[in-house]
Amino acid sequence: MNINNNILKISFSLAVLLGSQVSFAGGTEAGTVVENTATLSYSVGGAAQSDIVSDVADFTVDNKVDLNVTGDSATNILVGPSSARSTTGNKLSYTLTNEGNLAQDFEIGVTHLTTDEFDAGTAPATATPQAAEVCQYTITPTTVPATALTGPHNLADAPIVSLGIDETALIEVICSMPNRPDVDDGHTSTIDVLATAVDAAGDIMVETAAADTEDAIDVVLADDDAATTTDTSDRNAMHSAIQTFEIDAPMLSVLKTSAVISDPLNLTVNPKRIPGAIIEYTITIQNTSDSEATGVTASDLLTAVVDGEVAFVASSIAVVGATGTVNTYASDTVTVTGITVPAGTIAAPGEVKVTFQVEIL
Amino acid sequence: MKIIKKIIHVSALAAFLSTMSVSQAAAPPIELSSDVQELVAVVDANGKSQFKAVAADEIVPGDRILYTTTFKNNGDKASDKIVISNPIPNNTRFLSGTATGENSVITYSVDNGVSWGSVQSLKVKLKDGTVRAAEASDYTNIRWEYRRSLQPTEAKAVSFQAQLL
Repeated sequence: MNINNNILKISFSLAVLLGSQVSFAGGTEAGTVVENTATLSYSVGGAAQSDIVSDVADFTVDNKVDLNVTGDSATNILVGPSSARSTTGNKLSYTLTNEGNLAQDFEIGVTHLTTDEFDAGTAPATATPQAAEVCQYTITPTTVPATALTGPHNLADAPIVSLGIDETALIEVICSMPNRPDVDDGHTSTIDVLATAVDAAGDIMVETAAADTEDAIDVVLADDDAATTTDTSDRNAMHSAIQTFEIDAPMLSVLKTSAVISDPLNLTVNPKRIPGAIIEYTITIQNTSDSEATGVTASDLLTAVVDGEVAFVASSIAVVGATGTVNTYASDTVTVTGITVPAGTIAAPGEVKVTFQVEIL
Repeated sequence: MKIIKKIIHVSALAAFLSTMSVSQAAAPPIELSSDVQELVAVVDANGKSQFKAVAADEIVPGDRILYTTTFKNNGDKASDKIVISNPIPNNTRFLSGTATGENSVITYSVDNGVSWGSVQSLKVKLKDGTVRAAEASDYTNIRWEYRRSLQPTEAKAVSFQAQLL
């Protein structure tokens, strides 16, 4: 009997614990009626009387409109200059979450920030190698509605996405990068995604005026201030986030110098540039950007050989600072391919040196 | 077999109670009423934030709710052994330390009123079999045992606060 009792109690408390879990992050669904009833037992003159049950005190849960837009990357998205919109990396991702307690429609607006350094997807100085392809975006809700969202959308569009409680939508913006001399390494283009909670007519949700009825579903705006240029206050039915494209381009410079190694008379002691002397040329390639440059080719047509003034010293090509290069000499031209120039800074550039020798005739 | 018997017994009792309360509803000697209000934070002239009870017109998740139960003796004899029990309403969470009631012993239940205990004594069993001290959010019911007699025409009130989930 006692054991049975215990089992009953335990199963009760377990059921309670599971049942008291919050089902939605956004809270109790709007329209839910929360009721309360008290029960009183008492005695009169020592005799127990029947219980009394109070009237029901209830209220209807109102509609908390709350939304959140976040950028999916904490850092700038690095892109190549003069790259096509279809390039895998040319994409900014944002997540919109319905944090309210009712299914809600959201209008999406995508705009260029005016205070950044360039606008991705705009016309380049030259049409080649990359013509401008305007920015486009797609909206992918976690639960795709029966009437699928058509896309991709252009910046001027204002599509509407419907999200259930706690549902999210992924918004992805893709742009081409211009080919412009003023848009080089480190330049940024920032794009703002703004979501606005709207009603069935497409009008922005407004807070229900005070002093209304207990049993109606009122609207209360609960969104935070995103502190962006498009959302500057809380409780305005809007939220936005920004993400940034950053041009990531190696910045190379090339310098060629020469030095005399030896002559037939002085040998290597203070050699002079006389016929028979060996001259070493050094091509220095420097990279001052924070991204390495790969697949660099250095080639040098030796006009002095063409003119019959010097002769190339066979197998004299050497590379310092890079490995795995292919070094050739053909048709009076020194060619080194497959050079990788490491990243560096203006103060301490990444550097590769190519050297080769000629003999003065 | 025993368990089945028990369930039948409980449901029979419940049916009995409900019919009783209906028949008594005509002229109950004690009038019992439950009231709900929203508590909103207001900043007073001294810059201190205080809660003010307003009509429960606009309640959204996270809001603080005040439930007040008033009991009044409309009969001509004193009533004693008064016990008021109140389940924590659905979709709400009891707020720790907010139950009030003068001359009352307040106890709580975490199993829908099967067993009762003080804040210190209540325990809950977790899914993995371990037992921990109950938290305010585990409470399913509150009970006030009024330790005085309620004289004719006398009225008293008890209250508690909850938060809408």
